[in-house]
Amino acid sequence: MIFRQTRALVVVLFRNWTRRARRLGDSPKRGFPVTFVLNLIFLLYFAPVLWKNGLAISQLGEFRSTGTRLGLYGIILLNASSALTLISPEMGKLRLPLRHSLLDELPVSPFPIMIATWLQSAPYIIISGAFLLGLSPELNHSPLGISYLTAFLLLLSLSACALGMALVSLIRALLPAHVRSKLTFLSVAGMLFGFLLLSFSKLAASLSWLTFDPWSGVFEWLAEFLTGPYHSIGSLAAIGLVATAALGITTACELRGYDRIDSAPPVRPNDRVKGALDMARVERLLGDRETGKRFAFILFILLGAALIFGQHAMKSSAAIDIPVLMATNIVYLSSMLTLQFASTMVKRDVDARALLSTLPIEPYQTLAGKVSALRRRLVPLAMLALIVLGMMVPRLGLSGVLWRGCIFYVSLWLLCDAGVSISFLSRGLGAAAAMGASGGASFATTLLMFPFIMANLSTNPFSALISLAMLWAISREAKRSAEKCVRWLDDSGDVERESEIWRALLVLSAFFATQGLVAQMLKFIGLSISDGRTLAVTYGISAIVLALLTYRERARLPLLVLWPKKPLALLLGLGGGALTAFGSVRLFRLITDHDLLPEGWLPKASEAAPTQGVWMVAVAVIIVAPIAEEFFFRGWLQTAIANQLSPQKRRRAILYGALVFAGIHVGSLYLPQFALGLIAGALYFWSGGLLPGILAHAMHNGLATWLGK
Amino acid sequence: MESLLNAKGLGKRFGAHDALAGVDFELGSGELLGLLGPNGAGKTTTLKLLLGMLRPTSGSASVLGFDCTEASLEVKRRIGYSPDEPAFYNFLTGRETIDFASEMRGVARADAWAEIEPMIRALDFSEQLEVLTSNYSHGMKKKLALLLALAHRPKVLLLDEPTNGLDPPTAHAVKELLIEKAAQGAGILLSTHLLEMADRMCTRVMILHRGTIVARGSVADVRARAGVAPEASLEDAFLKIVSSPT
Repeated sequence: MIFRQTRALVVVLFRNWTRRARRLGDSPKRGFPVTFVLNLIFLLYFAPVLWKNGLAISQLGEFRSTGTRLGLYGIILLNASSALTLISPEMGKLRLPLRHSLLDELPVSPFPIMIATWLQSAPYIIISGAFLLGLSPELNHSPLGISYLTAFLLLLSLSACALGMALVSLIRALLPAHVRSKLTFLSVAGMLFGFLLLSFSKLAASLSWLTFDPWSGVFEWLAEFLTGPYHSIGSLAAIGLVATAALGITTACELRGYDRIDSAPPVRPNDRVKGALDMARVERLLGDRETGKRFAFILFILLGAALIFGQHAMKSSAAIDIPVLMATNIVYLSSMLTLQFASTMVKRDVDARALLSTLPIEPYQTLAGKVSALRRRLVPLAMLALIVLGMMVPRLGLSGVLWRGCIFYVSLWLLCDAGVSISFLSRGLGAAAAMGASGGASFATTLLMFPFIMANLSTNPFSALISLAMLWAISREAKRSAEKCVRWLDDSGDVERESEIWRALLVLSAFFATQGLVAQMLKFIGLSISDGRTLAVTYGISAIVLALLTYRERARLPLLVLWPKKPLALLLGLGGGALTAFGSVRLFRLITDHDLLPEGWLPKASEAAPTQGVWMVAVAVIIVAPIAEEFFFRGWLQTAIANQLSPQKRRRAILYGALVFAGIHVGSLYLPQFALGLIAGALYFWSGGLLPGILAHAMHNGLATWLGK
Repeated sequence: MESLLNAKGLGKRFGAHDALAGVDFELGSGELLGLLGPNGAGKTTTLKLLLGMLRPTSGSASVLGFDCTEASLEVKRRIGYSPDEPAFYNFLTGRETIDFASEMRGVARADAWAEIEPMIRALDFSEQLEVLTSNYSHGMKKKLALLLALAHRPKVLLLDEPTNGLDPPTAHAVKELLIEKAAQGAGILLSTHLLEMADRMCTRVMILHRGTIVARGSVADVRARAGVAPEASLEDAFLKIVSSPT
């Protein structure tokens, strides 16, 4: 019995952990749990951020009274409902024939699933812990406090899982089938609400009227109970008791024979889709079904409620810039919802692949339909954004709001395109953390989130446009790649099915993600951003990742040749690099001397020169960066683009490569980087070797840093 | 006899493993060709190659003149395929699934329903049409897959274990139905491991073993090839053929 259950636990864990990013047309196949590891890394990235947020919130005067509570309720609800969402589909799956799992044959009890859920929620526990740690200064920096918090969170999440499981068992035992089928939906709604509560807990600082509610006493007691004196063994014991009780309920249901495998499947005609079918065109049929409308509706209601909260808060306090806060939340929420919706639509097709692959339609032919369905779903959110934008007029002025609004809508429009295309290509795409572990973040997500967030948080329209252009380029390439490669094929070993440019873009996103991750880690251990060591280590590690990933690709690339066929190119490289460096410094001086750019447009990076670790910076900037970046941008990206063009147009690859190269230098003046990209690209094209470009790059970086001081 | 399906040197290699080592066969109008073989012999691989879901490593196949790899969409428009393990959108009912498939194939719904109405009655499926496919048993899924494969009146039918999971009366009805379709001029390629069924229904059989065709022809030919008595069952012949070191 114990052996069986242990085996079931292993199966449940590994079925979820080995889910590999695949394209839509692929048949299911097991793989190394790369996605899981990447997800974990990506989620850990958020921990320091949330810790910092928590700390900042806790320093607001009025916060202690209401903010803690709302934040905590958010965390609890998020954990509990994420457990529920994870569990309920698992329970559902138990009676579906799973071809690739042992689960069908095993008499699985819910407990292994519960434990697996608990273990899988590790990233969320860590994130919640970091947030709570930041919220409670009295717990900070005390070993006892931190260990209390760790135990508290582990127990809390276990009891949340247990409660979720008990709830599922009870529901299965007591409720009729049609109510049962709503379970997943309810838990997702709960999670969404938890997330909103969490993100709007900042507002609570000024919501003094909330203290008058009749539940106030209970809330006070709960808050005291949860965050109170950390030596209180009693609170831990109480949570343990809750978990035990929940486990007891589950066991009782089990013993009573409410067996999940035998339970009658809900049988009911599907009224929802009737009628819709009559007017459906091919695209709409594949794109716009089921949960979307309900989701959008609930979201609309919830956000409306949040808006009312916000207005009240505005009246009562000016401590927090509420419109800005709400705008940030809407940007974040819309990006995640877009990616989540896109991923759900594509996953649904994957489930029905046995049917779709026999019909005369290839997956990519449904792409346009899915994108327009997704856009329709986001209409309520877009309307809400309009209200928030209106609220921001007094602060930013009409023109400021106008360009920001345009950027938001255009970027959301592009994100829909890119989100669906990338879902087609990766299938693993989901929204980070917000919708529970079933979403899961991926590097492909970073690829979209980075330019999307950069575009929406830009302080000036110029850099916003650059980020928008990046987003457009990514969405275009993803679409092209999806149309070219995604077919109903059962052979995932078919290498021709991925475009070289697309793989290059994914590697680029890994480069960014590593940069962000390392920077966060360093900030966490106390290195300041102006410290040269931070810059050097952050950049160095990500550049090494870039170089290694490029090197790994060598079998598919034409030989990465270092030495040029024309030695003159080496001299030209050095000269070109010096030229762009001088140009860069001159341009910067010209702009500052004559005030050519409005306030906030000038890049900040050029102002701060590192005071410590200058040598490390020098090594990173003059040696590591040129080698890694030239290998990637010229050796891989430019070559890949050139391979896509006809021989007459092949030179254009230099231009496109240089545009991407300039585009990723966020916070720069872009122009010098563009010129450098053109020079290095042309030299590689002309001489056939990477060394001239590396010399140009090293010369540019070295001189610009030195002269810029 | 009009040739509907043509495979020439059709082969598929997965890594170092030859799943199908260059097979040739034809399917004519009105023919019921049984594709027999033990597990892993290459039956499903053959069907997937014909459907364009796998790219052949050697040779080619065509259906009604359309290449199965290059023009797989044209092929899919013209054939009916019922997979061994069907799956559908689980938020649609059986009826909606059929409507959906008709729409995808560009077939008028009324035509599709007129075509399958008698089959629905024969398979006793009309009540289950209103049930969400997520609640279907394996047998119900097989029935729906069969209806979907037949709804656009295809001239070529590829059926992977069509009676798997069906109760004996329904299985019998399916067999009758297929014989009738063949009589009307359809070419049916039937992959199965049920030798009794092949024995009774097929005009020709083809035995696949480790990716190669080890015997083909009418059931009588296969018996003769195996060297068993003419009154022996196909099973005896089959066992003898696949156990001999070919």
